[in-house]
Amino acid sequence: MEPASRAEARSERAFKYGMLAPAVLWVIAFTFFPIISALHYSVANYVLGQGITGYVGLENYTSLLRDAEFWHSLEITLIYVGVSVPLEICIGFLLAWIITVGFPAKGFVRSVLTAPLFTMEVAIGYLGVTLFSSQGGLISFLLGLVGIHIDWMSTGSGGLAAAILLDVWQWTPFVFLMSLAALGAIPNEIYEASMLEASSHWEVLWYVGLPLAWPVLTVAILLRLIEGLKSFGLPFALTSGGPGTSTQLFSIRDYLTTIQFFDFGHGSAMGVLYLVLASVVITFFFRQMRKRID
Amino acid sequence: MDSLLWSHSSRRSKIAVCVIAVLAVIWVVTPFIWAVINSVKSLPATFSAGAIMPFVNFQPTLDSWREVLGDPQCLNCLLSSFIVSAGTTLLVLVLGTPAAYSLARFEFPVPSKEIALWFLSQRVMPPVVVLVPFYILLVDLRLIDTWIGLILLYSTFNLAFCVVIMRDIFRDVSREVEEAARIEGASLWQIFYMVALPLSLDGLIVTAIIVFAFSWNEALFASALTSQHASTLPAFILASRSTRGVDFNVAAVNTIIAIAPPVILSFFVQRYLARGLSFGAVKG
Amino acid sequence: MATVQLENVSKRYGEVLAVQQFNLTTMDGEFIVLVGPSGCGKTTTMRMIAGLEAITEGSIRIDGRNVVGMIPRERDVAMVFQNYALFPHMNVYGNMAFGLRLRKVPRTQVDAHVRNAARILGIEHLLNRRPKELSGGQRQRVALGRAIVREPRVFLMDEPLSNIDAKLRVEMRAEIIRLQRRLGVTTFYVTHDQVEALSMGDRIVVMLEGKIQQIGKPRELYAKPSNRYVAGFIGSPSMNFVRGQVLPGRRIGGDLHLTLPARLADAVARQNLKEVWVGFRPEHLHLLRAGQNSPENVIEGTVDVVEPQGSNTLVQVAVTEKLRLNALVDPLFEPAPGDRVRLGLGEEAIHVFDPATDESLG
Repeated sequence: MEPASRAEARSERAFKYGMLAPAVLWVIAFTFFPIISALHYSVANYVLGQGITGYVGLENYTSLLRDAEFWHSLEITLIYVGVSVPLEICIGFLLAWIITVGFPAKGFVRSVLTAPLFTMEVAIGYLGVTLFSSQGGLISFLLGLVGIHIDWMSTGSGGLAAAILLDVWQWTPFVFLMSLAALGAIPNEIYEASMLEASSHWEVLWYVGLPLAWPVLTVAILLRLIEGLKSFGLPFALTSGGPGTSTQLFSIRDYLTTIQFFDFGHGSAMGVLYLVLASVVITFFFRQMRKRID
Repeated sequence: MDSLLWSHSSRRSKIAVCVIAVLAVIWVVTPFIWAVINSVKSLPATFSAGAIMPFVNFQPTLDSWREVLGDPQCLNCLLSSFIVSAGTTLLVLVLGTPAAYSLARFEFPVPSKEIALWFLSQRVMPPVVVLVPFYILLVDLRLIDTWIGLILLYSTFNLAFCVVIMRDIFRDVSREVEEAARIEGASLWQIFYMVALPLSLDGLIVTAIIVFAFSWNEALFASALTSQHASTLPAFILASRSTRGVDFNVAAVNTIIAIAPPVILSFFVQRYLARGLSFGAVKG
Repeated sequence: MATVQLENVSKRYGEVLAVQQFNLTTMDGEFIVLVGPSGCGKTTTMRMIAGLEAITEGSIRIDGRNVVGMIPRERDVAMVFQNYALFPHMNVYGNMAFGLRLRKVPRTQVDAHVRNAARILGIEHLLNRRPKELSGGQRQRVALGRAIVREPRVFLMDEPLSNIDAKLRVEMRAEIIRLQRRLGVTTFYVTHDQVEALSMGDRIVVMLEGKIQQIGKPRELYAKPSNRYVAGFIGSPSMNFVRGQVLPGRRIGGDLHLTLPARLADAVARQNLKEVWVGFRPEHLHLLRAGQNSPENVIEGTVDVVEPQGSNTLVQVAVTEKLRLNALVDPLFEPAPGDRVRLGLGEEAIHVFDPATDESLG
């Protein structure tokens, strides 16, 4: 359907831009200006009660870069994402495969497997405190039955591991759903043809399912990276970044700096640094994946 | 759908699949069951994790439920969560659906797919980066600790879902049907409103549920930008955690209240979720 | 009721010329068929009349008004789509009432128009149903109903029967013709099926690669095709074409030896052609009994393939190693593969084409 005249083209132009504009302007207003504002605050010295008392150039940034705790929080974040995302991808894809293969009650199982995605992070984190507690926590109890004793909540590595486990629990369904869509888009005939040659459906998974679903998996990896790097709610509710700062992910540190200490200057600088670093990481991955797909 | 993948599989493969399915279900369901059990445990029974089955190993009690639901703060937060989530959903649909339609049907100087991706790229930014600016903004607008303040912010971050999902849905509406409407005399707006929109109701519901769920679950801004009046459930829970310490029973009740609405909603969108969440990455 | 005039209409997509120099003037109430293979420009032309595509050059007048630049609504045309394009979320009544409601026609009038159209098409009992509950034929009728209810100036039909199964198609064809005659609305009908075209059109426009090849009544296109493409396109099974050298004495030589009628031989001579394409339809070849003499051209060959078709038998005859001809003969003869046969061909049935331009010489 093309416009048949200049008048029609004009009204079409008005329509299409008119429909699009509110959303675009809204996003620009609520992201562009805040980012400018964040940059502004990042080069300022903010004191609670007095506002901006002066400008300090890049000092907020340099003091951050010299702060060992800052780098530590980055490290913790990378470990968090580096362990949870691959687990989510593998488990999610595997679960999607067994649904694709099919078995009785798979519809029910599919509904159940999707549920964690919609749960509230902080509620799960809070629940996790009780789950992993050394006294009466279910996990400790079950591990105790087989003679394993792990102190989850009082060590940094234990806390991080618990957070990762919960993160995987919550976000695997995301990869699961995307993989389901990808595997479902493969024509049935291809499955049937390969099943006639393969010795088991696992071979079909490896030689057919995985390669054909790979482009979608890369999108899933990218999306999980984007969301995972800014993880806040679940780990914060679980450990508050502790004990001490041993599980202080980047977002947690920034949050505490801003809201607990009202250090807007450093808080904003941290945020900007995050944006830069995350964009670099994500763009890098994005390019890598683009190359593989095209 | 009895696919060949299942019917032609060896006994061993089938068992493996079923075992994995069962393990996965147990893994997913365990936290829920833990929460339900703990929510009806009495205090002494709480620290014996071996007390698993109500009525069998211990006597269930609704004390914790009464305690939590009797807390006016909690109820207020519950109300706030509902209002903020519903308000955000509405605003997102109103802003995002027309934009999605425009991107689905028309051409722009920039490819429409890239514009959709631009919306999505907003999610790269962690909320924490804009925490300071938003805090200042809401203070200036006197919207701190208000529902509207949260709704405005949440809409920004959730717009992407609506635009990306609905754009995909609109592209599937038959062009011929829209052309028929045009011949019958419908204006562009009438085609959108009377043909495309009614035919995309499914997608709207999926989008609405996803936006509702994400708004419901949002914690960072909620706890930073609200205090007494507009505090939502996630903020309440974070506060509970710090004030009450490790209170198994309250945690359990809080968890159930918090996760019930979105999880229940998720069962209704089962069929469409896979497609909606793939953000158009899959041509299905 | 309207005349439609297309003058030098062209449509360009970038480098590609989808429609070139389309010229046609219809009479009021005429049933015009646009026919040709996919990609020939027939649908594009119709969409330009509807206003769904912009015109690159030329003008289209409906009842004298130049509609170029008008949105579809202002042109007062109705269209029936190949896949019906019914609104899935409305019932049949809603589908048919849509256009009238948009024009703010009062409810009672809308009701009267819709019920009247439904009655004409025999779908009154379906008014409350949704499209997905209807069969293909019923959906087709609803699409027609939606088109007639507004009493537009022009009907446009884009291959409306191609998704209908064969038996129903013949019935629907007749219904559409009856409907059109009853309402007397100028109609453009697009199809790729030449049988459909021949049976339905007052006039037929044969198109190829964006250009009009010939416009004429069915009989004209059959008996006097203007070029080799139209000759081969119209008529099934299609015309036989044989390349031949021009020999003195009205003779054609080569794989086949024929004598041309005087008028054709003169035309050939006037063009100074050395070689020509000779064409003749399978139905004009008749089997000669052994020993039967004929003043016509006689072609000898061996039967290769026999396809009984009920009232006729299609026979493929090998004249030489390379030359095979199709003949549609009386089944009484019962030819068998391997039989030596003699085919008679009357002079009047011969067409000659210029090999350089593919144009007919008569």
